[in-house]
Amino acid sequence: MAVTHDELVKLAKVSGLEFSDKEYTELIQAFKQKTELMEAMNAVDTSGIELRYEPINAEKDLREDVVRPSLPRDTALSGAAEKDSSAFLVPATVE
Amino acid sequence: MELAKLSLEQAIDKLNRKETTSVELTKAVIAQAKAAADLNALITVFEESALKAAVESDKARAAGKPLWSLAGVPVGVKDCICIEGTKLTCASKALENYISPYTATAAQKLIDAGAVIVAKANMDEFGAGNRNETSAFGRAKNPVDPTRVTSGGSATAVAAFQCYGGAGTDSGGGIRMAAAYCGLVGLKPTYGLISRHGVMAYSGSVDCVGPLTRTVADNAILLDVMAGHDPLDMTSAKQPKQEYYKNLKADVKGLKVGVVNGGCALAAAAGFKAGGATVSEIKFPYLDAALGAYVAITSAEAMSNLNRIDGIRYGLRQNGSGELEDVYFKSRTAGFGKAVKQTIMLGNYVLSKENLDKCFFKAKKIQKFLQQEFDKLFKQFDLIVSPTVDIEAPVAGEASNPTDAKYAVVASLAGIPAISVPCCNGPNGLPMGLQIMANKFNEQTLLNAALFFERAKEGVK
Repeated sequence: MAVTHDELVKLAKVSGLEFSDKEYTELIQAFKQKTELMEAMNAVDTSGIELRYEPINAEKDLREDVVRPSLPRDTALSGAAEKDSSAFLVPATVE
Repeated sequence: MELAKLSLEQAIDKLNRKETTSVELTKAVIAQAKAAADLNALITVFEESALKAAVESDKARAAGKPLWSLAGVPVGVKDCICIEGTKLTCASKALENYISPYTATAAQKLIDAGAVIVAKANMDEFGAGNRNETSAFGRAKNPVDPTRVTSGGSATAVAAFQCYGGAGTDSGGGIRMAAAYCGLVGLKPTYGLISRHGVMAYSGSVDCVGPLTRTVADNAILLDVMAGHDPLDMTSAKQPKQEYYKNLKADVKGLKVGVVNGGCALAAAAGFKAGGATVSEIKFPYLDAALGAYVAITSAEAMSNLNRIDGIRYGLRQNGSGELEDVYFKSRTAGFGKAVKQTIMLGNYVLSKENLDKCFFKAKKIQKFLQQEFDKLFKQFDLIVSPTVDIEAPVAGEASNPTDAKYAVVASLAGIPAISVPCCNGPNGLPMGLQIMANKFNEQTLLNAALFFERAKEGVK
């Protein structure tokens, strides 16, 4: 499962991250270690295992389908670097 | 005995006997935090608000008002657990100035029980790591030997008497490995026993909140407070309320104990025989596969969770060229550290079309397989024990070895409870831990066995 520089560049694009050449070299080494660990999964035959995992096999509550108060707008906006009185501000994406 | 060095149980007892006050206890642990600030256990210390809460607690006690179980006791919480109006950094530059808009259920339960929240503890950035070396605010040191790592500032703080107990989180050993490295008791409860509402998610299918303490009894006290169903967390289990502390007894009589991979764990577990348990060695040949599955699942889930950090709604914002896409890229690149970036990249790798089946789906099948294997094992055994981690706390700066967590991650993937109790000293005289695992929601059996082990070990001294 060795990863190439070009594959890492594509992954960086979907990850929303930028890397220097030195960092890409480090990433190749890090991926080598992690993909080797993942290869150990092949020692277990999972052919009869259902692709479904429930962390808890216990009764779960579904909440009532009723409107209830949510985070106040001011509070939701409080951590934004740029905002106005009612919305997050982002750079324009259409002209 | 110095006030700060009391156990949490002793501190409660002294408060109830009016032999001390919450203000005295709070001042004692804050003095410890200041004296050993170089351990870098804490990201934020709430000196003013903690002392104010302590004064109020003492007033309520003096007025004879009804008090809850933790009234006036200073505790710490990991800095990925929200407390309204205070900083929540997750040890990341990306959230350096983020203020929690609400309080996590687990923290609220501590507050409602009267605890004085004294500090937020250091951690690996967003949970990416198991040595607390990836924090943007510097590594937390091990108080037993500061040249060595811990696995979390919460453990450093509890071991260095900077609080009487802590609420940590454990995805693949965060609580248990920290406990083992620092000579503490750390419990990862059954998945879903303690609410994750308001806890910054790293890997949602394995993340658990749990207590880190200096004794087993202290652990039971904190578990009593934090456990319970929460309608705000869809993965919260609906279980009858337990009284772990009240029912705590050093008892392993009649229990069947299986030991994974022998060695020092087998020698330690042999002590259970004296209490009337039967002990036998079992083979569990899936540790390496489990570690691979853990890597695949946690990187995928962490990547997904961290997509929300984009510089728009909260957190560090870098505008770059001013284009929207550049805001995302520049904010995330500047905000995240190396380990987190590698986790995000790996997460996208395992979820890519080419690798989805052989990495992520394979890992989820192994998670299911492990759950089935433990179901079978718990038909034969009441407890399964192993080393928590089979090395002493590593020297800081040494290359990280993911296989350190191989014993811890199996319980995480299977969702079963596991506790680490101090077991023995390693070749350099540093503490090592014994991990005891039980079937889901059998925390009482686990705590009782841990108490038996703790008392037997004290008897040896």
